Amino acid sequence: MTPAFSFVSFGLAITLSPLLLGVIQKTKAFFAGREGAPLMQPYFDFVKLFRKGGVYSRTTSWVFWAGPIANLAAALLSLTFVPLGRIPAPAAFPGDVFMVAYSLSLGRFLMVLAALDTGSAFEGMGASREVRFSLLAEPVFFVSVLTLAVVTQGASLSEIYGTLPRHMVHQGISTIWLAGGAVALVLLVENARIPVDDPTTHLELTMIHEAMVLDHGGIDIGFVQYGAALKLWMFSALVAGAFFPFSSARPFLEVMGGIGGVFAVAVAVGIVESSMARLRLIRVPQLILLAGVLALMALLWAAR
Amino acid sequence: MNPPILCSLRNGETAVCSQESGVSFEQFRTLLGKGIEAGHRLSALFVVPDDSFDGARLVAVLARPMSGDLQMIGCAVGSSYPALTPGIPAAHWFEREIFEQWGIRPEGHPWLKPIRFQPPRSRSGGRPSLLLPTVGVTEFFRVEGEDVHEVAVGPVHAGVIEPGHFRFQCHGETVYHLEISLGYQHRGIERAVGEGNSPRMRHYIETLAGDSTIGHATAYCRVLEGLAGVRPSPRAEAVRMIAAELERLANHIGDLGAMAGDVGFLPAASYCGRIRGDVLNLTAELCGNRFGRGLIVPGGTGFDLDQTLESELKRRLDDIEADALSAIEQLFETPSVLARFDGVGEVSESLARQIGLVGVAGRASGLPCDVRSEFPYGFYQFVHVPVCTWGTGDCLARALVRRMEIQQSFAAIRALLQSLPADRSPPAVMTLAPRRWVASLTEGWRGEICHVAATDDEGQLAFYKVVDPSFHNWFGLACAMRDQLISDFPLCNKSFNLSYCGHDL
Amino acid sequence: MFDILKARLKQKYRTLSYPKGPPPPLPARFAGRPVIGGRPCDTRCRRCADACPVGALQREEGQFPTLDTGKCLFCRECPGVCPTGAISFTREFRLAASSRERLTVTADSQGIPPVRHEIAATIFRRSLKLRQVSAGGCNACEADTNVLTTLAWDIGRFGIQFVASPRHADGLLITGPVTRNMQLALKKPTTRYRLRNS
Ligand code: SF4
Ligand code: SF4
Repeated sequence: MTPAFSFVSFGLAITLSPLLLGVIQKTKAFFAGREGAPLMQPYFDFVKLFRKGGVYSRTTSWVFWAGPIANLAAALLSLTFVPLGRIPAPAAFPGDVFMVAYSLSLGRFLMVLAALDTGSAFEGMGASREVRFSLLAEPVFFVSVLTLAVVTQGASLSEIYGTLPRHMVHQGISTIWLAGGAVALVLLVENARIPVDDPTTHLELTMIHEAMVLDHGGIDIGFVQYGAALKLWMFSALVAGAFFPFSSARPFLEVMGGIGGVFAVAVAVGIVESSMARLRLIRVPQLILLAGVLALMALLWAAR
Repeated sequence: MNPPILCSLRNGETAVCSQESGVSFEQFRTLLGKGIEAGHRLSALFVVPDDSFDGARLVAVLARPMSGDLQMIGCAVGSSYPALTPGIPAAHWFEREIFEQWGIRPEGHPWLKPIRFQPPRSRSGGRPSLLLPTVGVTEFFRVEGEDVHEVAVGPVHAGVIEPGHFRFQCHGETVYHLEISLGYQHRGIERAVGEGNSPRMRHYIETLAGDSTIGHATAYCRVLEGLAGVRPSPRAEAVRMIAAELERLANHIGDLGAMAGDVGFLPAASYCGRIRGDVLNLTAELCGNRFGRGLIVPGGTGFDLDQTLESELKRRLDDIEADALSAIEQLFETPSVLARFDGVGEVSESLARQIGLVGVAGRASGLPCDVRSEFPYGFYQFVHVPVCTWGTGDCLARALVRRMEIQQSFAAIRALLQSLPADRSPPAVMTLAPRRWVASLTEGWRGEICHVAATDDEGQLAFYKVVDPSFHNWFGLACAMRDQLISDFPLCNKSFNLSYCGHDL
Repeated sequence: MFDILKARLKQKYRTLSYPKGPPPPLPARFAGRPVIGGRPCDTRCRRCADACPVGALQREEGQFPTLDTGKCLFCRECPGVCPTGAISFTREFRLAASSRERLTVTADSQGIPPVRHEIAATIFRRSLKLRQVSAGGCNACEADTNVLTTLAWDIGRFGIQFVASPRHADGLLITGPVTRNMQLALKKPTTRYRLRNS
């Protein structure tokens, strides 16, 4: 497979990730029985936001505006290591999953600093919740990817995902799907979706992720939201890659399959959001625990 | 305009002003204490200014469900008196109001702080003094300790709701204490109506709490009708009841949808939100206004229904009922929703009784309080609507009570539309009797609405007191939040869904 | 999942076709925009002005009265007392205006006043985030604002959304007459509205 397609897939991630949010919205609108916001709404929002300036209070420092930029940069960096379907990522090295996870963590850390910089009680509360849950989700993510690595004998994410379909045929899909299921739960946690968080809520006291960015306005919130869209894309690609045994010798079809998988995950997220309530905040760790158990089972099964 | 000393009245019946100064304070306190112990409710406790001496009259309205009547007790107090709250917790909010409005100090009140930050009312009835309190500035309760932190929300909230200020004393995610500080919606309606003959009075009352327009307007009209000795025609009473039950339907359905929205359960939230609008549209068919403005007028109703409207309402009601019941069923059949409602924000029956919860919140805690059956008025005298209670006092109970009441209201409206009384006499002219007192209770969708009024020697309204159900229940919300997760507050809040403007007046 | 789909089929697709299609039917007793001067006005009479509970009607000698819809409660006392039928209420529901003066309806008023703002219409045409501040109303405004986001009206389809933070918002929606106790709080989020680049 030519590296050109790696860059094409990278470019597609950058341009299409906002559409993912639109797809989730439309899915939810379908289940509610309404027309809902246009598919392109996230793009309209970004165009408007990037035309706006930021709003800064006198009490915040550079940390406040640097957070969203650093977060976006970290997301872009991670994206270079995430394969789309069977198409390898533009960059890869053995153990790059740690690079992905930790650069996302770094971005989050800087967002947390930015949130704490405002000194507002909500943002502190949101930051504490976000850190607590992602702390729990991180090992689950590692164990799941490790499982896939054990199954495929691959070292980098691109290697792992590139050979997954073959292994699905040979070793059965149950292990891979278990691990994929765990990654899917991590997706819900990391991307602030129902049942963990409600991205559309207006209630400050119940927010997790949203509470952290209440004070960012204009272009800054644009950065935050774009970073979030990229992150959603990455996780969707990882989940889709583990679930769909699609593989083709034609790189073009490969790209299409990869994108189809990503959007299928977005639709699934929309369906989940339409069919259940949020968990009580105190129950979220239990959900992550469940994901952890899935991942461990998959690992044991794979290492058997 | 002296209040009667001690009399028992039926709901909406008048009493003549007394010439004497009332029972002694000791007697007053004993009567009240004994009454509450016997299961009566403190519907209102307020002060009436009196120029004849340096003090005022303290008046209590006790609702006595067993005998189905209201007891009005009056006594004279000076510029201070021993607080009733320590023995009668239900008086807590009332005494704070008395202190704030008139500067009469209930000595020994454990929690004497402003509730509305309104300018004090002068006892001679003139304009308020210039000394204005600053809203939200008071000594808030604080829990000491290193791990305890304070989260303050409002007055402007993130959602599309009214302003109010909430302070949580938290330990991590757990709430030790919630203090509610309101007054942002204070417009001075009670004073304006108590000053007598403004042409806007009915409109003031209708906008006292927009979602309870019918409830408050009915209480107000019944006050005037009582004072004038006028009885609306049975048909008007029936239309009023239809309007009241439509109001209950709309709000209960909307509340269930809002509770679903708060736990992020999209389908029920979306469906209920729309269905609520459809019910409001039925009210609009009646009078042109979705909230029922102009429908309830003194002496009768502003609009009547004809044959076509009747059948139109019936037809649409059937559609709405099918939609509403399926949406609500979905809510109660989704385990993830029940898990969120169950056991959250509990108020025990004994606590509810002590602090005097009314309406949906009271019934969810197992109190059979419902003015419609305890002190029936209007058409409720002829049609009995069952009281729906549940014992657990949590969010689930408040949701379940709403669900039962929705079913009852559908049935009640349908029965009424089946057999509307025929006579259509127009509203009579109102001439109020002089020197009378009257107390009127209605059951708004939130709970008991109490209006008390008095006329002067010329037969003009000279005193008016409004008690919205929210006034009784806000403290209940604070109690419900004890030891709960702070992230469950929005849900608890919606499950009570109290009125800010109804409280602030 | 299956139950959800079943319920969805039962509840149907509910978003109104308005504004592309026709507006939804209005209740028969709905009172919309008033018009003045369809019939002559009796010169010696001022019954409407006297009947109005809020003083929305002003009448100068020899002229048609003017009606301030900013004050009017739409209680419809005035057409009831008018002997000639010079005041009537239409079923026009578009009552918005872009300035205080334009809320007043006179005998010369023609049609509905334009409310379109050209710059806003280009920048915010497809994405408008609003922050709502409620300040002393009776909660009916909030209730009906919430209705706008329900299935039937679904303003989300125009890219309009209510957001949780003033910093995320492009505009403010203030409801109510602003009580004294809300003055301070209202000043705070508004002053935070000055954008850096504007
Ligand atoms: S409708 Fe009522 S409030 Fe409006 S102008 Fe006429 S009388 Fe006045
Ligand atoms: S009531 Fe009619 S005729 Fe009389 S002043 Fe008003 S508009 Fe003119």
